[in-house]
Amino acid sequence: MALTRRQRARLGRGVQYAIAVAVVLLVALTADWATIGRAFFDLEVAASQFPGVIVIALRNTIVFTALGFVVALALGLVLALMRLSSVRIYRLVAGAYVEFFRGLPALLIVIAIGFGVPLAFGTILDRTVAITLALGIVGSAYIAETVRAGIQSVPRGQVEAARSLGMSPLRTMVFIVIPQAFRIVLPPLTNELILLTKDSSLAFLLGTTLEQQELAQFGRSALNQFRSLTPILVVGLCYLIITIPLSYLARRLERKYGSAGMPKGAEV
Amino acid sequence: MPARSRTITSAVAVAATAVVLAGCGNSPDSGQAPAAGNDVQLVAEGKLTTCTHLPYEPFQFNDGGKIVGFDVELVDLVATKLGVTQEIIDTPFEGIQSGEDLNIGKCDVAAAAMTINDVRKQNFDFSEPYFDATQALLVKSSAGITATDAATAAQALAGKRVGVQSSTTGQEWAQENLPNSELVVFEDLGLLTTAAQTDQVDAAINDNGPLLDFAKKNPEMAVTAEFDTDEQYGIGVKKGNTAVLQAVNEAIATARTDGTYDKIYEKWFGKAPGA
Amino acid sequence: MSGSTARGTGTDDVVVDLTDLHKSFGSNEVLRGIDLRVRRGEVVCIIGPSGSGKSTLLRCVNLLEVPSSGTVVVDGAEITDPDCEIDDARRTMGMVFQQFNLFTNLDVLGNLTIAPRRVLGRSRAEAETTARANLARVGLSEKEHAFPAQLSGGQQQRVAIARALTMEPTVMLFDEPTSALDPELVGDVLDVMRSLAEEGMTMLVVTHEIQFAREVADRVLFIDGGVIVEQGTPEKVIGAPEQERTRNFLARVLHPGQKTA
Repeated sequence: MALTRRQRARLGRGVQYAIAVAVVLLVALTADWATIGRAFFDLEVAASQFPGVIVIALRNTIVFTALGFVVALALGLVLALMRLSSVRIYRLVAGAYVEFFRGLPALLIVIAIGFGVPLAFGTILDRTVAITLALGIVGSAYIAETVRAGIQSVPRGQVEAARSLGMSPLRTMVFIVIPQAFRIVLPPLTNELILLTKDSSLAFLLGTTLEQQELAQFGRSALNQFRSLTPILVVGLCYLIITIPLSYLARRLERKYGSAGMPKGAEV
Repeated sequence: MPARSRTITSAVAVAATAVVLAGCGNSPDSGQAPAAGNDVQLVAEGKLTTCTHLPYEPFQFNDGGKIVGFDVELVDLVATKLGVTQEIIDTPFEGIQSGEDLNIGKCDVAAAAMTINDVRKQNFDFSEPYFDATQALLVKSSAGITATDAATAAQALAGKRVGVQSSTTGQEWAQENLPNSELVVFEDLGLLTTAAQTDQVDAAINDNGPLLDFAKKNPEMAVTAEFDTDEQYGIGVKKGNTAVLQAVNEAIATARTDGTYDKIYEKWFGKAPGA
Repeated sequence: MSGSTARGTGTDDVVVDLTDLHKSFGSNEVLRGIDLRVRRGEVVCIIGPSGSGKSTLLRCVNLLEVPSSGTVVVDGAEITDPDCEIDDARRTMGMVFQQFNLFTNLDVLGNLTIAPRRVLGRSRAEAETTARANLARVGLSEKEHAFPAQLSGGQQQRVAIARALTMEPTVMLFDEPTSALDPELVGDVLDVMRSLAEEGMTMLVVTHEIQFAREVADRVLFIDGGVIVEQGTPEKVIGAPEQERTRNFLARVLHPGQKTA
């Protein structure tokens, strides 16, 4: 009884659906919904999280992430240029930096900054400065690679045309290459921003006052206070409020700018 | 690319590094300015900065957006004496008990219900003892696990899962005295007591203060044993920071003589201090 | 020394002077000793099979390729001298590429004004005036706000020519300007190049368009294997080539598919 291709395809799909339904049923029937409800959806506890979770925690997460991203972008741009430089020492230093900081967990980097800088330089950093620096260093290693790839993907012809007009390497970079590279790297940069948002949860390692708590620590603190997992849900939703729109933005940018920096949908 | 690009890249690199480094060392929280009205040098002007690790009820915990507790009120006395206000930093316990936080100038004092012991004394200076504590055993009331000393505890807990908090004297005690139990290490007290409450562990070892407090608030739990570990809590200061140490000791001594200490004790433990 | 009288021939004013030019890529020697002098107002067309080194030759003139040995002097400046300020020197040369290479992040007007503004320091108004004049010259005035992606290949190339002209170069270099164009668009670009030649522009053109070379060039160079095999007037090189290699090449190009002698 040989099956035709269509029948085989339909059978395959049917099996997949059956498995999916079975898994869902298994989870749904074995989970203790009453306990989950009590643990995660305690409305009273949820209500008590406001306005602190927005006014303090969400605000801090946004501030730490934004500041860290600015530093990461600036550092990353410099590092990318160093990696592309004709000066060997720059290439080596930048290369070592990127390999090193991409290879370490952000957790360790935050701890190192928190203790290392005060020990080395004898002065303790303001906690916001410290987390900004740590996030900036973590992000810069990834952004350097993204920006470098973006710059290198700008077609050589663009550079040749600019140089042929008498534009110096600096002017070529500033007016032609970087604007074009920028559009190419916008989607991955947006992704990096999402990652940095999650890494901001490491701020607790540096020690914080109650006003400096970001979302994750706020949630854990409340978890301890109320012995309920609801704060985790609330805080999680706040994270998604930040990351989901960013994700959407990244996808839209990718559609708009494609991979060649040229507006899509134009006739040639 | 021809030679010009080197100069450019150098200039940009130097400029950017300068900008980034300018952000460091420019820390409003650093500085050795003396506090108002005293010669005592504090890490932050006008504030007595305390390092602690939350939560550790009833010594320090977050009550509706404010950090309160026995330790908090004691250190408030010190702050008042110095004419400043207390600012509390919640920070991982490893940094506190190793003395690193004090060394790098994160805070002036460390008040985290810390037992005075030789190892910690090597890392930082302790104040005079301000609280007598002992290790205790927290279990579900219905579990029927009791003990009178380390030996009976080892028997009763043999083959069971025992929770401890990382970097505490309780963890050390359990490691020394419960060789036949499976030790599970938790990062803070809240996670530890929740684990005991939800049967992730069969018992929890920690200081009697917080465990008694927890059992009081959660009737299904009980403290069924206290081991005479004769521990005393002290407040930590950076090694050699005699000015702040003196202020702390004087504040505590004054509190003991003028009845403030007893009042605070009764507020948090429901009875007058026995010792 | 042929064709219209509008060209400034008959003077000894050498604009491009190549002496014993050699260029190797690794072990592959692409240019094996090229000597060439182009006079002001002269139109020189370079033809030859692919791989002959003709593009490399052109790119050596404005140092997009650095010669392995030999000298290049353009409008009095020795390009191959290491102390030469190459960015300044390149202002005298306009280059038109096979792939147009219009700046994709700028519109047409932006493409034309960026170099005058950023390199020559002209004001925006000044630069735009010149730009519009050059756009009119190539017949694309209405496209000044279009982006490169919205133009046809022929239009892009004409804009590229206008872009090069806004820097008021002494010599225009064309690297196979029509090779990437659909056949029906080639004519418009060649028309622009023709009128440029008639206005007396010194031009160095690498091309496959033999008919264009025949009509417009003052001199034709046939390059093969990195050397100039034959050079002379179009009538001579294309009409009555002396070298067999030249004849074979022309036969293949002019009558593709036919068996060669």
